[in-house]
Amino acid sequence: MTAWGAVAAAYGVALAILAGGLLAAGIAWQRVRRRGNGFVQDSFRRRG
Amino acid sequence: MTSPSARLAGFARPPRLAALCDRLVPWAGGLFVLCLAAALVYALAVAPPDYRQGEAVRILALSLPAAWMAVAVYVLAALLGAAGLTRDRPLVFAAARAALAPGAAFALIAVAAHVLWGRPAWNAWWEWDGRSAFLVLLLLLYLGAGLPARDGDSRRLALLLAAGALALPFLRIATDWWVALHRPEGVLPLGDEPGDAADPLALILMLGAFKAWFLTVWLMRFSAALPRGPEGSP
Repeated sequence: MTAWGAVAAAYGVALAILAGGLLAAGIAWQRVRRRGNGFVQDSFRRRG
Repeated sequence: MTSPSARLAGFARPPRLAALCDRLVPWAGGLFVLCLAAALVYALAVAPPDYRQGEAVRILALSLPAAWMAVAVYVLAALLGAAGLTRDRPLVFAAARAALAPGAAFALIAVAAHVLWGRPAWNAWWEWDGRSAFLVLLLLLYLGAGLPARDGDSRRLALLLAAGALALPFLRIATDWWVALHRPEGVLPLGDEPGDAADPLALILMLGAFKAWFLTVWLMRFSAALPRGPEGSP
């Protein structure tokens, strides 16, 4: 593997992880914003 | 008129906290995009190659800030867990839990970039020296802490995080105790020994991008963990 090949692979992996994390968190966040997450205040306190 | 501390305490109410997080997410996301663009342009096109490592030095602009972030986020989660233990605060536990996945992502980036840097720089994909081993241990600590986080047992999570935090100082002193491939005194080109010198500006820009990414993902995950009804309900 050439040095530039290693650089491209490292940045590719890192950007894929960052984009995947952003996408997963964003989808979950938007779903909760639209539909709620089934909690009410009291159940949240017991859950913690 | 309410006192400043009473107004501040009002943000601890989940609905207001969720609204605040939701407002901050686009700003944090925009900051991430700007910082990432600057970091990529500088690290890949502007920063000069190292006279010993050649172009492979550009990978250090990824692996080092990712390792720093993995440690910093773990410390943050452990402190939040400890704070939640002492006062039994579900919001604080939720903040600790929300930090685990992005922290694990940084540990994963650090390990992957380390492997890909090792091949051109050390002529070995991996070497079990002290710091590399503790980087893997940190990734395992994240994965281990994620298990009780999933079933919602906050006390077990906080205790696991605190126990894991005992290993963190070894990440710093590993290169002093085990003389191996990592240079002992750090990463910046201080003194006359070039070693594994990385471009300081590339490190700072990437660290800024990683911090903005963490803030974005942490806010979204924390906001999604707060109690909410369907849209439009109080």
